[in-house]
Amino acid sequence: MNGCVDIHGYSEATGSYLLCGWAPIETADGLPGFRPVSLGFEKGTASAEGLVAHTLRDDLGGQGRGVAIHLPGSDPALGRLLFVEIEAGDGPVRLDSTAGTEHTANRALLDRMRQQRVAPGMSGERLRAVLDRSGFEGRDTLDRLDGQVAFQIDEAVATGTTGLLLSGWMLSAPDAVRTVRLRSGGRSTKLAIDTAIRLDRADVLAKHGDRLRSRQVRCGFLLPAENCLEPGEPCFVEIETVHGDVGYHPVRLSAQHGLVAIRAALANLSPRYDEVASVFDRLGPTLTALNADRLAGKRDGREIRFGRAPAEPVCSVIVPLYGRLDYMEVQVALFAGNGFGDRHELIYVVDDPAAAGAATHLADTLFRRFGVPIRLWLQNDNLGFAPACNVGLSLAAGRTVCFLNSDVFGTAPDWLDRLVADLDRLPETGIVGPLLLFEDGSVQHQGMEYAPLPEFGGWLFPTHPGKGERPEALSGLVRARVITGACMVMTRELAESLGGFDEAFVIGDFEDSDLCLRARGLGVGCAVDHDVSLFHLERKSQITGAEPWRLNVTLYNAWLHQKRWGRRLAAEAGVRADA
Amino acid sequence: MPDLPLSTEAPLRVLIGSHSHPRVQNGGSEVASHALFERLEAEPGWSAHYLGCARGGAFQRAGRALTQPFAENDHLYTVGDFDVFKFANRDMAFPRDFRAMLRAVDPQIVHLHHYVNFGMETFFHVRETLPDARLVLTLHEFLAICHQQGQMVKRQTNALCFRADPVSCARCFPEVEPQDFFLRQLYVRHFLDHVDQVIAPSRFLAGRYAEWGVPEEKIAVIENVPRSNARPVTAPRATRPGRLVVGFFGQISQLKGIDVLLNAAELLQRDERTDIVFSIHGDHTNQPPAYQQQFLERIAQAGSTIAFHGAYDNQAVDGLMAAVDLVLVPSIWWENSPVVIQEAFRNGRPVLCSDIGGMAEKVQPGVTGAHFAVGNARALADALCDLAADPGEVARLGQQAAVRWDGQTAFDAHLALYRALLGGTRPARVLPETPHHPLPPSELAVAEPPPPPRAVPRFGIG
Repeated sequence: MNGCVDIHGYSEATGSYLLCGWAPIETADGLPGFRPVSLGFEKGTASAEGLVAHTLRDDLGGQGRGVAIHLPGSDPALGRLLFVEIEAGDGPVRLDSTAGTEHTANRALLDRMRQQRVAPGMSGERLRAVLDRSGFEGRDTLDRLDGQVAFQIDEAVATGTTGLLLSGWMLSAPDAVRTVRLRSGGRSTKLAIDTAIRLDRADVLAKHGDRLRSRQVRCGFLLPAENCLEPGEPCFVEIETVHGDVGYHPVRLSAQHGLVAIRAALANLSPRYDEVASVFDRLGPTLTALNADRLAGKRDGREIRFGRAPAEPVCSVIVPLYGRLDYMEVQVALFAGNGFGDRHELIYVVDDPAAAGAATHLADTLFRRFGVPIRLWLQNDNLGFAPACNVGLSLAAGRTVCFLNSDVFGTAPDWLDRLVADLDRLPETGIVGPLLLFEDGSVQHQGMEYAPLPEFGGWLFPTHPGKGERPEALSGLVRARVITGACMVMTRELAESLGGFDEAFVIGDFEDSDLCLRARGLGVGCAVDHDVSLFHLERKSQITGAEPWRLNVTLYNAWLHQKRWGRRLAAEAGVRADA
Repeated sequence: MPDLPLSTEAPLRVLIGSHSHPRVQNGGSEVASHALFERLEAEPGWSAHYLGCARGGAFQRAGRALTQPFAENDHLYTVGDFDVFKFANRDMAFPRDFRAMLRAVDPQIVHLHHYVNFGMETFFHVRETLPDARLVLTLHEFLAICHQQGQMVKRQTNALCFRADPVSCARCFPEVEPQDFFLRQLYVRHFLDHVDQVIAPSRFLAGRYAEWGVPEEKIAVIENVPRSNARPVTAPRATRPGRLVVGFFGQISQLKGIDVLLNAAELLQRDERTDIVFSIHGDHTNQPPAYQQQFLERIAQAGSTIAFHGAYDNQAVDGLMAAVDLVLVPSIWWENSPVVIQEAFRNGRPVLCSDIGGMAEKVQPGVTGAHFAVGNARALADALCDLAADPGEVARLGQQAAVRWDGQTAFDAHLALYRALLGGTRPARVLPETPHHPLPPSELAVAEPPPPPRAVPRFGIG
């Protein structure tokens, strides 16, 4: 025989399903306590650990005993309730929903539940405490937890409309915390802090460790949570202790978005060696979503033309401009007077909205000084290297395109013509680049190889053979596995059929390697022309000298690249894949 | 290439440019450039235009970069948005107005005495506008090489600098990346390539620029042109027995060695040498306030052997020099060809100078003057004592200096150089002599042979 559900519904104040009804007498004794509870609805089932208590009923005539259930979780919205199943020691106990079962919610539900006479005992006390909760009123009430828990959310970055990337810390007395939940409207999401990405927070430990008798230095966490936000509803964390005390901590969504949000989220992370893969396997999809959000629909801008570029340019030189505008001055100066503007077009993509005015003024003075026509695209948003290059590609009219970094400088008047001639001469070479030199004349780039970096998960990273050494006595076109995006020339047709650079890579790493590897799929390879050399004032090492967030962006890009190409590259001759 | 005109044909047209204008500011290079202009104007068979610069001020006309406030052939550029790091001129109006002026004047020779205020791009404008014109540049210090006001002394210590490279330069300017010094050099050299002929007023300067990368065959060493070849009418001053009057003429600044002078004067006072007196002429008002104050305090505390007379007009220099026995040039930077040395020689005054760079080159010890160890006050005091002890020698050196001064050769050399350029030939190249400065030990070390070439790896797919 089954029992019966009398009243049920969802209460936002408690973040739980609340039910009362009765169970047959022979099964009822083993029910009180925390039990796995399943709610069977028309369209599915909601299962979690629920709190079950007895209620005193005079109407059951000894045939059954009253039960009340608190089942934390989200409002499942799965249609009509059909039954409740409680896992007890002797097997499942089932309560059926009948025509007489009443469905209500929130305040009315709580009132009905409080009218029940909860039986004395531990479970009863706990349930009463749940029903007495006032609910989240916008304030931090963690001080109600008798000093057992210290907790803070530092950043809560929205991912999509309902996801969050939380970074914060929690330090608690041993075994003090029962559950941590993120609540928003009808959504209640258990936060598995223990298994989150953990971060060292010595500062937190120093402040709270002694009081909470904890030595947990990894008390920081980074935690992606999906489908946890009810749009428009406040969001808070609910911490419940093993004694049933509950405290709330309001969560304010970060006002930051885009790269700033990504930067904030990655600020305190420093995984190394074996941690790297597991961290990015968890974090990667969230970062992908954040990056996609960041770029969604953002291609607006406007073009200002200085002078008239040729109608059918041989090559469209595409230079993303961010930060140092004065590099443009040197680049254009070096193009002056060698007929560049008669053959090629120069497209600058200003990827820095704050610099639009200064860039426009400078481009104007450059055209007046040097007569080299400039197509200046002023991007409304900062997008990063790959999207900026792709915007440039969408504007390009050239038979060929040259993706050029703003810190690459050619002194020979015909360097571009020679790289284009290489393409024309050897069509099976799809992508050609020059020898790139540092300012002291040593090699910056002569083609890229791959090597695994043990400290970074053993993933394959592009390397620059010969970097920092004097150039070798090479001449002519030399095949390369892949080449840098700092200066690469290809037909516009090829660039377009590849869809430009993959914008999933954030800011500017690995997308050049990815593009070259995708080009192989179209049957063309890469080469470096050692007779053409340019200077590349490459930024200082991203790997060793960078701020943590920047390094973590690189690691994210490496994770993406590794997922896509790691296995295939490792199988290639000449690639050392073991770390 | 245009034919050389016969005497009956139109005069040869020269445009002389200067980064300032004598009507605006009276420095050595603007005086030199204007002297050349004035003498060209007066020379049969030549016509000259002058283009000077001003920074803001009374001669500005809204919407115009170039104006003619003084005369039909005297142009003034009021400088706009100028980048003093790599000498980039971002002034919107300059390219248009400058090119229009070039087309109107149509000079066959464009001779700039600097690129500051004009911008390195100016050479490009000339090349584009007047492809047949010859482009001449006179260098006045090491500004293209050195961001420290072109002095080639270390910014923090005033120690002499022997060679510029991006890393060393960034040590002087920690706020600037070495890469930016590299770009500065790239920018400057790119446009200097347009120059047909470089004139260095000293062999020392020529040597430094040749080491830095200006092709030696492009450099001629020609002294700055004096205003006229006439000598002053004042008779040489009879040295008063028992007293040596030492004249200083120039900016009152650390690099001009004013502290070396004051330190030497103190040493001499300590030795009770009241027979050696100093007569200081120069402007101190454009120095940093702290330095001005320190200088004035030292002058006030100095004894009767030092007299400070303040700024002077260059036109008055002959009269002032008549009242001294010798001219002291104690600079602690290299100098190029200080105008004051030529002025001293013209006035029959010997020169005592630091033993480095352009100044040491111009003063022949025992012939036209003497040297002392740069920056060394004791050495200066000793040298002055030696000269004070031998008034006859001072007079003899002065006479020899006067004999060697010549106001015509430099001007004639300019004319010859212009003619050679227009005739399609280059004047005989002038190799820099052994530099007048000690080389640091590292310069003398034998260079390591280059490493043997490595095997040539080929990457990837074959």
